[in-house]
Amino acid sequence: MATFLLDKSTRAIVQGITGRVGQTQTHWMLAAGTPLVAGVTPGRGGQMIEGLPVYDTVADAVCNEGANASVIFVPAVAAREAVIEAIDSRLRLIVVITEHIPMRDTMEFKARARCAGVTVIGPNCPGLFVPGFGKLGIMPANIFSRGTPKSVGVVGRSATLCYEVIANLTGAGLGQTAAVGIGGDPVVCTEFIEVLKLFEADPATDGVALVGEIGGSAEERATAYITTMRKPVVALIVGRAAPPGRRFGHAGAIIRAGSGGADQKIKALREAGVTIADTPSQIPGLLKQRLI
Amino acid sequence: MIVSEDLAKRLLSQYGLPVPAGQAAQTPEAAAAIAQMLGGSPFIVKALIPAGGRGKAGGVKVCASIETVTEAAYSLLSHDLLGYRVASVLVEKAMPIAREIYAGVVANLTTDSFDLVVSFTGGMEIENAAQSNNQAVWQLSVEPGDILPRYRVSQWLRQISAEDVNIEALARVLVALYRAAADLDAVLLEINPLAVLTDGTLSMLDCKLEIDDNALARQPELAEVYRQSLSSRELRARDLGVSYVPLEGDIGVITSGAGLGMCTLDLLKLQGLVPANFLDTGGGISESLVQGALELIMEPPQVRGAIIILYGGINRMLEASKGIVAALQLIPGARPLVVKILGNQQEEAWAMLEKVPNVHVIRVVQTEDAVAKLAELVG
Repeated sequence: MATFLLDKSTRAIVQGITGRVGQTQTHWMLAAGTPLVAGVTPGRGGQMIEGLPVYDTVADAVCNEGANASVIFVPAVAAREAVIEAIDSRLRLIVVITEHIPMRDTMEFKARARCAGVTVIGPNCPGLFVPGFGKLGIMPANIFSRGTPKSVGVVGRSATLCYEVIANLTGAGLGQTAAVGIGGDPVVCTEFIEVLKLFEADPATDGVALVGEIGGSAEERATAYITTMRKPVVALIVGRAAPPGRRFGHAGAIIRAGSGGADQKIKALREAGVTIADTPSQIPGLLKQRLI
Repeated sequence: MIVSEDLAKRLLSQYGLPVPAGQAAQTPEAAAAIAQMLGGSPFIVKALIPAGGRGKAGGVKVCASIETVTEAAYSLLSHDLLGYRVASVLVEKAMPIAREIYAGVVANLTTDSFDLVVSFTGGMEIENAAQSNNQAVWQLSVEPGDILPRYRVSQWLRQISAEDVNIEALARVLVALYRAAADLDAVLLEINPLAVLTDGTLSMLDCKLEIDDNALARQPELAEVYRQSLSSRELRARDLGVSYVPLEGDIGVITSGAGLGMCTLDLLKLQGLVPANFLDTGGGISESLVQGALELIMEPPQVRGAIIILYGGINRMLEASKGIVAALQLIPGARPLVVKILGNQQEEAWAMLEKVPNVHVIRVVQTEDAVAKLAELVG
């Protein structure tokens, strides 16, 4: 993976490290070889968690540990504050795992991040995994593989569906350069198109698996860029059997007044040259056909 | 959540917004009493259902007298309208309308902001107007987190040539509307129509308010209303912390994750099976959660089989399998259950479940295989 998201220069902190989920996931991120340098929980500075120093503020972690990235497990009610603190501390990458953040809060920190030139991934996402460099988030390490002749990038909304796709790729002998879960909310800070640009620019990535779903128009918005890509894209769009007007687990997964339906996403992606898979296990075969 | 029109209007009136005098009634007698209290005539009686197109479907009645209010309430209450049972009606004073305006605060997911939207074309369906690129629909984008000052709205209204409307009065209403939408965490707040009355004043005759479900934690009054609107099964799901959508079919579904859940519904459809529900466990899989979820989805008598797809990651899957076993001891009938479990302690989970009658364990990653197995078992 090229040096844009998670690499040797990353020095990441965990915001919300003292919570149950934050602490557990810190353990697994370290086990995956992630370059974590500290945790931050207001009022809990001075503790040690999983061998990492805990600071009261992100600024303290930047001063003392040279932190330049963050993964956020702070509960939804406090998440807006945590993300804004990380943006204002000029971290270059912020991954927001927290779910159930109100849409207005996300819009606010998304606009702020854009002004500050900071990359925010999420919210309500599994984060990113870069085999060889670790993970900022919750994706399980044991499904990933690297070092095969051909490697692909994976980008999707849903955590566990991406895991199934990745496990299928690994099972079929296709390694991964990186996987990015962009999140299931109606407003997410990094969209499909931005991740596709990273994969297109990455010399180690040969193709892309895109895992989309009903709701919104992020898949459609990516199509103009996809037509310009040299690398093949295979997509799975789920929610084809979902009736309109009801929300399926993700706040963003809802078909409204003739928009957000699976059929129109599939049509738009096909027209942009994307190969559509009907099931997760078709993805490796379809990618291999296009990688020859 | 969609807020009923009577509650939405009460909330908006707290922002000084002009709503017609009125009240909700559950019986024709109560409707008549409200009309009596409002005084004068005519009146409007509206079916309180969370659906658009209510007027065209006969759910809004103009009544010249208190007697006709009673009749209108009688004809609407306890009847079905657009798929909803009418449990209450809203009785209001009818207003003398000079012209109709559309005003809304709408999430714009292209710019990631909440836009103020206005149309001066009365009686038109706003969605159609917007789609036909009609110049009659005007949108003012507001930077997230920004306050919306009145001068900006006034300037904007002047530019969009609303010359025959009192611009300052309309600007005041739009600023208050924008404030209300922000305070209430509305993802949609539409006033259609915002009527200009014959005396030149404004009145919000209808109102559609949808609140961000993710914001209910900081909207305690609305959260309570939401709880009361749920069916007992939906309430149990909410208390379990799972995301549950009842559907019309006969196959129970539990998945860990929304995308995996939608994918499972798609795969069921490819096999000709129809799901009875969608249920996403979320990330925190425990014995009690899985037990409660399985009891919930097996409850409808038409359910003739079920599929469980769990991708546990670091969650202990032995806990999940204990939950399945515990639920099956309480669930009547011998209906086939296909379980695909992957994650921490998966081998122990498989060993436990493979001993249970009617449970079929899928050890591979492909959800397709689990769905195919279920199709074979339920025939």
